[in-house]
Amino acid sequence: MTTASSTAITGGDLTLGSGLLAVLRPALLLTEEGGVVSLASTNSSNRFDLPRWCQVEHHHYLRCESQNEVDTHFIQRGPFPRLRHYEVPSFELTEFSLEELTARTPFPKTAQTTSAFAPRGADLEEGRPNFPFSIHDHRFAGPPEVARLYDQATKNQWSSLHDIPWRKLKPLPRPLNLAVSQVMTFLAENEFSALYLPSRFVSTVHPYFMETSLFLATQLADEARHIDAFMKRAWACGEKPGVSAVSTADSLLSLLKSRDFLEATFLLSVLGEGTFLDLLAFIENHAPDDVTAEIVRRARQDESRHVHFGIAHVQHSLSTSPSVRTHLKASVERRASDLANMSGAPTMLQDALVVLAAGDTSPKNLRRGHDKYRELLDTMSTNRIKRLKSSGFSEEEADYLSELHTPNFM
Amino acid sequence: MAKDTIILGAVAYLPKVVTIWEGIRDFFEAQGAPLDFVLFSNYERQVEYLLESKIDIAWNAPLAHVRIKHHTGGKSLSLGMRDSDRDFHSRLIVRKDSAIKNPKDIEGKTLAVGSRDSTQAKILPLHFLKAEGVDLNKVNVVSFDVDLGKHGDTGMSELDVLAALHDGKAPAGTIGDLIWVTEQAAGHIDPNVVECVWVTPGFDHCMFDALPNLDPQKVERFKKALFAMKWENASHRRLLELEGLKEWLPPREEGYKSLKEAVSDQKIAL
Repeated sequence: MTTASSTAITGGDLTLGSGLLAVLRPALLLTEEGGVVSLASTNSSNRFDLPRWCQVEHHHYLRCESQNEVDTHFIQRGPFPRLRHYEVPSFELTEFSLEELTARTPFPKTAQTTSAFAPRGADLEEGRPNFPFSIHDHRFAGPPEVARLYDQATKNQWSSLHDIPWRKLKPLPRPLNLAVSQVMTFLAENEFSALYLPSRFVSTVHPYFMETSLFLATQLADEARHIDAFMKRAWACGEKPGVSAVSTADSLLSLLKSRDFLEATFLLSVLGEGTFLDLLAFIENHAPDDVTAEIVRRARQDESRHVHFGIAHVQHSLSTSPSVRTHLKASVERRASDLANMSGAPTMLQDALVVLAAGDTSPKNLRRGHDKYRELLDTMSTNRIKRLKSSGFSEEEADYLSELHTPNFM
Repeated sequence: MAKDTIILGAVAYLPKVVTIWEGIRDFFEAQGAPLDFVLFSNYERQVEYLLESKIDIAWNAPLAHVRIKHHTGGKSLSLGMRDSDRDFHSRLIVRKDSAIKNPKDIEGKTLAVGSRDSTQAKILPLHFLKAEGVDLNKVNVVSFDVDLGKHGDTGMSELDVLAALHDGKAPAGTIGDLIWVTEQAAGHIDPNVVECVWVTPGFDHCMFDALPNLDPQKVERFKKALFAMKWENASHRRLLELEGLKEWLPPREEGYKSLKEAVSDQKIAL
């Protein structure tokens, strides 16, 4: 079979209903418009069926030549332009990573909504409906390196059932038990926002930017696993989950109000999850048991991937569309104004973190624990500024935006 | 509603009919030929409304076209048809285990046919079988009368015929070749069980009909807009594909000759 203007195929004694079309249709598909496919057939019923089928399918049935009980049917491909919204040469994969595939089939500048769910590279039949994707511009669809992050995510999936040494859990003194339960409650509550917010945008990303959709799917799976593990840890030692603060709910509601994917990624991944990296490191350092340490260590690995994506996404958008700078700054200001009455992290969380860092409730160790907590706030601020600068903001902007970030951390 | 709006009647045989005519209405509007449509549940009512000038134009299946011709003494206006309306055929489909090799072999056997108002699945195949020398008095004709009034447009009775053959309830049946090729292409026909052994002569299918006294300006506007629909235009093509054609063609009457004879011979009320 070739793409030349004339293609010869053999159909044996096959009919339309017994498999002939499996060779005829691909031959017509690969033939250029106006090209002719000649089909050798020994089944005389095709003399009647093929002309009618051609009419239904809008091909031109030209003629039938019969010789030695073999009919040769000549069919001219109908007037279907062979549309390609996306041109890329054929290639063979060697690594089978998404990063390799993305490198061979780079993101288009823009994607048309009529390509629907067709994967990038597929030929598109004409006359297609519009799909309601709102993200079809490469500047806002995610950075090309998202493919590498997806590869990492799929390599590093873990299971709360199999990868956490639950059996090693031992009873803790009550104050520490309460502190762990409170911290886990806070983590899970915040992770719900990280599950629900990106999920709103998966369906808005044009499938031509599938790397972003696929990465977001791994992010959602990560958050689901974190919530699962955090809540098991919260209940594990006989305590009920801790308290959910109004200030946390207020803060997460203002996050959920993000109006677009870029704004959501910036507020959630760069600022929120970025700040959470330091919180998780703090909890790991001061965890009273191996199980708690292992959960937050694994969660932090996942979160650092989300943060990496967030920074790369914002950096890519800022460098290709400078006007989004004002938009992103306004989103932080809007959120700060929503949360103007919030003065610090929820008190029950602060207390729990101090107790964890203290290791017990002796005054001496509590003082040390409190010092560690204050150091954490400084670390969060310093690292947040670094992440903002990596995202493409100036030092001055980074200082300003970091200062406005929610005291609820996420 | 402006009085120069063309009111067109069509039978709503499937939900897609709404999509088709809303699309064509918008296209006609853009062509400067305002058009609105009225959907009927059966061709009998549509024919009645056209004869009473309650609609301007009817998109008629062949039996309805023949009725309009009959009631206007042959003077009704035929305005256009689909390329796919020309040279329709019906098929004699048989079970491979039936030993039926040609039309005469169905004598003494059961023949499953479509609805009694289906041109392609009952009226014309019986007419052509008779012309072929088959004594229909010796054939047990079983008719699947479904979707009556829609004159076979839904194809449901033809699917019933095919199911009866596949299920062994009848050794032979008649359907139109559109259903025959599309059902084969969809993989719904078991080639080990059934085959086509005979093809009728050709006949024509649907037609836009109007009364002879329709405002000539409306006639001209309608034809001009209709024939301006082009396959090459992607937005037109979507409508053309839904309606099952590549090109609108001028009318021709000779394609209905056999149906007129069949209607007379079978004493079908006009």
